[in-house]
Amino acid sequence: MDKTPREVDAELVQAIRDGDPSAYRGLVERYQGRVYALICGMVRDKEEARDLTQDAFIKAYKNLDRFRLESSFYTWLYRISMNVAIDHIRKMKKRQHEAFDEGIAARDADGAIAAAHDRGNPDKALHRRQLNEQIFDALDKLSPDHRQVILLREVEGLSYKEIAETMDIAEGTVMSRLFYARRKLRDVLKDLLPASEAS
Amino acid sequence: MTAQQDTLARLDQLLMRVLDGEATVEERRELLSLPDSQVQLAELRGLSGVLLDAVRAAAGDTPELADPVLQALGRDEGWSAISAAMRSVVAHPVDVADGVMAALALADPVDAAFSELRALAAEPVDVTDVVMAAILGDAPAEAPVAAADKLDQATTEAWISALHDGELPVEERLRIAAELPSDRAALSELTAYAELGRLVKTALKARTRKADLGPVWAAVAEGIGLEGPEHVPGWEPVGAAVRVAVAERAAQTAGEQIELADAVMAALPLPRATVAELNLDGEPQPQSDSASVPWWQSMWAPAVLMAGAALALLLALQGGTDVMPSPGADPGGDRASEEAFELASVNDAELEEFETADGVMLHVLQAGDGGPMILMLEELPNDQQLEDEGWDAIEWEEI
Repeated sequence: MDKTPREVDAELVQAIRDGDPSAYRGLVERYQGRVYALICGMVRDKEEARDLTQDAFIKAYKNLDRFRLESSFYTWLYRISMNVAIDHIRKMKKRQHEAFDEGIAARDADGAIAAAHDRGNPDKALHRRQLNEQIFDALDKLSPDHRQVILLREVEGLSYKEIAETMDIAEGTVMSRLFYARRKLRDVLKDLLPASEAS
Repeated sequence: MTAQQDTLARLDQLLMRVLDGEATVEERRELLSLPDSQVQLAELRGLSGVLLDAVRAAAGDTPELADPVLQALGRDEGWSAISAAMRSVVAHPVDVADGVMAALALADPVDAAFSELRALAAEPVDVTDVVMAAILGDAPAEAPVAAADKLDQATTEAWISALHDGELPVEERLRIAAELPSDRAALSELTAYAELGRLVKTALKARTRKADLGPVWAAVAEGIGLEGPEHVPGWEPVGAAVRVAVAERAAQTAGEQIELADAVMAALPLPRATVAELNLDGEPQPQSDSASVPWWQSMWAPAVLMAGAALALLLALQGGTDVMPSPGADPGGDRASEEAFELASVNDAELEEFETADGVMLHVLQAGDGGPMILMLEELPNDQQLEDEGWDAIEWEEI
């Protein structure tokens, strides 16, 4: 009978605790894509996201003795990853306030200025890219906690219970934050969404 | 709408702006002053004490870290008013946790202290949620769900959001599902949430699709103190024993080593195609002594070998061994060859048309049905050249 993902995670964690740190590679390669995607949604810049993914895994490893095997490893890992991303955002925000007026232009990872207002371009690829930039611009307008809850729900597909476990908050708070995050996103992206009957 | 409801709605709006970091100084002042306009909220002004206790509790074993937080809270003169505002909206469907966060964000030292707490605490500490729990007291975080009878616009939207996620209790889900068909606004909300999720997911997927995460493990391995990404602790003694065993095994006689090498080579699954014992009918026979071999004859064997090998890589056609002389070639010649071809590999190719010039002979060779097929081109000398080289004139038959 095949082992569940949770059992595999627990075995790898146990192997590390038993003195085989190379077993951590299994956990890293198992979750690096998902952690990277979540962090990328938080910090936007791909290179930064990769560095932070590495930091998150290193931090998780160093605190592995605090992980309880009866819990799910990925929610624990996501929590660490999100906190790494949030700390990074706070540091960057302070730097930006000092040196950069972020209202002037949004730049993508390649340094190109995102032409978010250049709609109607016939080139599909360019249009798609602009659309994605608009999505990221909208995500940037959310508070880190709201962004976090949206990503965990929409990208990772976690249940409220899992999100609550990941963020260490009550399920009711998850519901509430998701609602506010969506309302904000809906307001920012209203041009991209079907017309609301309520509005 | 009553005056109190107006105030609460305005509070909600201001809190959202603070939370999003968009509130102006005037709006912050307005936020601070609003609760004071409501007598009903006066009783909540002592809440800052609860908050201070919560922060102290969150700091846990590191009380020195709590100090900057406590000091920051103490310095914020508007704190009691803000916390009152937070408390006031508990009865209303507003996210208390976010409200508290917004209030805390008003004072930068608090933010810095939280970062410090997070960085130093091995387990990530979310002070905000501890604070929120203290504020809520007897009011559970699920309060909006429990207050189903007091639905207003925002609550309805929150419920629809939860419905979209499939997270409502069964009885509530059934109740809302029964009402949905007639509620176009709610249906519109559901559609918008679904589209939002799709947009976010698609955008993130596009951004991360081509990410090279290969270096992640290498960096993590270095970060956690491994000697290298491929290093397996505990393997070294085993590897050393294996090396010794192999070295002992390798100490053989020259003959044994050759046998071993032969055995290894024989076991390797190298692709080989062999064409042997080809019978080349239709080749012209030289009439003169072999000691005086003409130039083209001396070049024939290597030229045919090279051409054959090159063409075999391109062609694999069905059919038996055959010789197709081109116009002007002698079909009645009789010549056998003992040449054998060993081909390293054969590629599949398809030949649709093939034309040769006059005086060029095309040889089609195949070793058995389904075997690799070789096409060879041979440029034939004219009569004068043959005579010059000591060959008798031959009657060429047109085909």
